[in-house]
Parts: sequence; structure tokens; C-alpha cells
Amino acid sequence: MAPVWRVYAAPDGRKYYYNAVTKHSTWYKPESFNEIDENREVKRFKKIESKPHVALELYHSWYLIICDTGKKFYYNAESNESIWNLPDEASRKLIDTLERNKLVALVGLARGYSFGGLHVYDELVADLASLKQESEAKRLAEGGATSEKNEKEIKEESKDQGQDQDQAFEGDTDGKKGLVTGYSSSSDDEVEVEDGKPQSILAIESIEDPINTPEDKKALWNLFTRYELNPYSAWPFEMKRIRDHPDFCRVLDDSVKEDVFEEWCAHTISGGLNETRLEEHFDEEEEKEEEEDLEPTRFHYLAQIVSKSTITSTTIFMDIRNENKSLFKKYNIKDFISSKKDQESFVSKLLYYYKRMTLEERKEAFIQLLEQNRKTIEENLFDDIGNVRNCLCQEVDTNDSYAVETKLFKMEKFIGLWRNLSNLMEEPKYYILGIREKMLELDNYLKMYVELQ
Amino acid sequence: MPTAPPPGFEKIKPALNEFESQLKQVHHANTSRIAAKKDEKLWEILKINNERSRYIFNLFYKRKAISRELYEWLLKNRLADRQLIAKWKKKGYEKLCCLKCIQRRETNHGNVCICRIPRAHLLEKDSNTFRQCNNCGCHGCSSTD
Repeated sequence: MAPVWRVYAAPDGRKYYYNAVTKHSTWYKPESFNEIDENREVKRFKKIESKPHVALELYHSWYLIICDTGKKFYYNAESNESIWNLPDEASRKLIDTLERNKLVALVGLARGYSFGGLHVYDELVADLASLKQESEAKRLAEGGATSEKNEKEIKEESKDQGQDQDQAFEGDTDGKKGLVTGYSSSSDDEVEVEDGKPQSILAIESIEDPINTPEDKKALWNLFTRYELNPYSAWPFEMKRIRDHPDFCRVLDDSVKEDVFEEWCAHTISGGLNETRLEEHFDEEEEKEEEEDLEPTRFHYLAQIVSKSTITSTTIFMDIRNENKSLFKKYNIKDFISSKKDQESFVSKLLYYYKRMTLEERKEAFIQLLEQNRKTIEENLFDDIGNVRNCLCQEVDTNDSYAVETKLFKMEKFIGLWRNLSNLMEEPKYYILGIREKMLELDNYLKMYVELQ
Repeated sequence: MPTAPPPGFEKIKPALNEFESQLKQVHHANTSRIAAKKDEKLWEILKINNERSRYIFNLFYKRKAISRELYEWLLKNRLADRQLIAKWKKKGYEKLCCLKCIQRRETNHGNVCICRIPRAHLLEKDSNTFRQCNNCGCHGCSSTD
């Protein structure tokens, strides 16, 4: 018993109703929608997509093709036809002489079971070659091979195929000439066969490993967000809420799931501030686009540390170092400036300015420094004026240290700090302000400049 | 003397209560009369202890969701197993199930428990027969598993 009316979606997404008895369709929901046709059986078709997986060369340019659903059919490279039953006598005999166990193992391999290992295919190809040689020799000796075939096996095989066929076709295709539905979609195998290089086809697509792809992790991540899991709760409890969801099973490894969950919690708790960082985690490609090549100058972080530390008239490098040990570690100062001597000399230069000047005076000195290099800055800004405008237009929340830093790096890039203004990078005067002040000053300076244009 | 929990405890309280009720359930359950199953209650308790410690360990070290003060308070009040967490920080012990399983002195041959051996190793030797260990019902807690 099947319902008379069925709902389908039109190409534009609208729903329409189809009467299976009268074969009539309509846009509007019919009154007799719930009617049931008692004569017809409900048919549940299982659509099985199959792709050729393994090819074995037989005689007379026939190939035995095994799909990844385990079905097999025969393909002729010359006439380009594919059929279920092999018409070629010699080839059929060849298959019969092959070890049945190995064939079964190969079918299993194609379907994704790895009990036989990948060697089965190689073994079979070797067997085929040797068999061919043998029969060739026989033919030469006897002048033709005797025909003795194992009919039983052939019958069995064709029976198998019959069953497989039923699965693949939804009951209405012609069984004789028909080819696997999914076959046309993967033409690459076919092409290779036509090239006459069947050996290179080997086991073709590698058997799928349960590798955790970034997409799977991302799906899991989104699942957590969608279900609004509690980031303060424990994994065993939260897991119970989502474990019925198909996305949950996309990542197979339990410990990986847990790791993703921990990461998600950390991310949610920190309030999504470092969203970009976590995005990078998933997509390395995105990372490249987002980050461009913004990088801090050599003394950038060291200067920031100095600007944050308390400075009295007697402060020396060691005081700053002792005070901010954790910051030194956090910013990896060692990676930027490897020798301690360099660090010390730079800090003492900075301290000179910090001790003698107030914040206002330092700002002025900074602007002066920019003025000195006005010409080069001008030229560099001119190269990319559109982007500069864009960047300057974006107002940045001065409390969001990440955004402030990003903008500073961008502006540094625009004024050509990494190109012909690189001498400024080594100049201690350039670092006499903290990151935030420096960003604001530079921002003002450039804005004034862009408006002048 | 029980002290008042530091701030931030409210957020993790529901999960801790859940663990607590699980423990109570185990406490009230009957012990099986079958000799082979008599330890299973203990296994359950050790499992919950492990999960709860792992939860607090993650809260502090991975999610950074609780303050050190609260973390110390939780350890002090035995809501997490301090010794177990200390082991987790060591290389090779990241997934350790319970402390008894690495107690060499308590075994006849001075070995660690079978659950500490990587699964791949076990499969290599003979087509594996190990399912759960006797100490805590662990299915295998080697770092490489």
C-alpha cells in the first residue's frame, strides 16, 4: 500500500504534488492528499552508486572490472562495450583457472575490506600473466587448447551477477546491455584502459581510511555550537546530547572528538575573541589568506614590554627582564633577538628615551621621525592608496589588542617598513611608544596625509 | 574544615553534581554474587573518578575556564585526584586509567598492568585476548591507543 500523492521539489525549490495513479501533478496540496492506493506496494529502492575500482586484463582486449560495491562486469577496450556476461571463451577460461579465493579477496578489497591486503591485485596480475604465457606455450605445442570448463562455477558467477544487477538497477532498466549507473561518471578509469596501460590502474583509488579531515572536525565543531552545549560541563554528559547526530559519527576517534570539544569549550569560554586563530586551526589555506604576511618587526614585542614596565631613573635591562619574565617567554623574545647583548643594548637605548621624555614628548619625537622619512612614506602610500584608505577607514576598538596590532602591522606595511624604509626598523626612536599609542599616532599621521591628497 | 568555594564554582557545579549522583548510584547498587563480576562496582567508581579528574584537569589546563584558586580548592576537597592528574602531565602517562595499574610493586613479576601496553603490541603477539584489566576495568590506556 502506497500513498497516491507524493511531494517532490521542483528545480526552483518549490514543492509540487504528484499523483502516482493518474500521473498528474499540481502545485497545490490536493484534498485527497492522504489517500492510499491499496494495489501498489511501497517500494524502497536503495540507490547504490558504484565506481570501477579494479581492472584485470583478459584476452582479446577484454577487461574484468570490479566496482567498489563488489559488482563485476566486463569491458572491451576495443569496441568500448560493457556487459555482464563474458562472451569471450578464452577469457572465460582464464578466469576459471584463476584462484577463486584471490578473486573473492579482490572483490573484498574493492569494497573496502583489507583482509587480503593490497597484494592480492598484484598477485592476480602476476597469475594472469603466467597463465597467459602457459596457455600460449600450450597452444604452440598442441595447436589449440582443449576446451574444458567448469560450468558450475560459471553458473554461480552469473547467478551472483544477476543478484548484483537487481541491486544496482532500480528494477526497470534493461539488464542485458546495461551498464552500471555510476560508471559514466568516472571516466578516468576508462580512459586509462583505452590507453592500453591497465597495469597502471592498479588498485586505483586508495582504500578509504577513516582519516579525520578538517571538514569533519568543522562539522563536529558546528554541531557543538548548534546544540549549544555547555562549555563548563564534562564531555561524558555533553556527548550524550549529540551522539545520535550523524555529524557526530563523522569523526571516528573518540579521543579526537574529545579534543575538538575541549578546543570548542576553550574557544567559547574565551568569548570568541581569538576566532581567527581557531579558524586557522582547521583550514590552513584560510590561514594564508587571512594572515597575509603581517609580521612584527624584530623589536616589536621587546619595545612593547618596555612600554609596559615601570621605569624609574635607575631602571636597567635586568630589572625589566626580571619584572617581565613571563612576557619574555610569551612573546618568544629569544626567537626575535637571539643574543642577550642585543636585547640589552636595544632596551638601554629605549630606556634613554623613556627616562628623559614624557609620553607627549615621545609622541612628538615619533612624529618627527616620520616627518624625516616623509618622502619615502609618501611614495609608498601612493602605490596602494586604495587599500590604505580602506584600512584607515576601519575604526578599531582600542581595547581589542589583537585588532590594534593587526592594524599597526598593516600600516607598517603600507608605509614600506619592510621595503625601502627598513632602516626605520632598526631605529630605537621608532619604538619609543607602546603598541596602542604607536597605532593611534600612526593612524592620525596617515589620516592627515591621506586627506591632504 | 570545609571552606566556601572560590568564585566560578557555580558554573561547574551541575557537572560535579552529575558525577556525584553517578557515584551514589554505584554506591547503592548491589554487588554481583558472581565472583568474576564482584569487582565491577569498584571499576565503575574508578571510572567515574577518572572522568571527573579528567574533567577538572581539562577545565584548568585546556579550557582555562577556572582560576588556579578554584582548581586548588577542588583538589583539596578531593573532587579531583591530585596524584592521577600529576601522572597525566608526564609523557607516556597522558591517558593513564588509574594509579594501581602502574604500581609495579603490587604485581608478582614487577610489571605494570596489561592495560598500559599499547594495543598494537598486544595484537602483534597473539590475536589479542585482552579485553579489560582486573584493577579498574580499563580497556587500554596506552598513550598511543
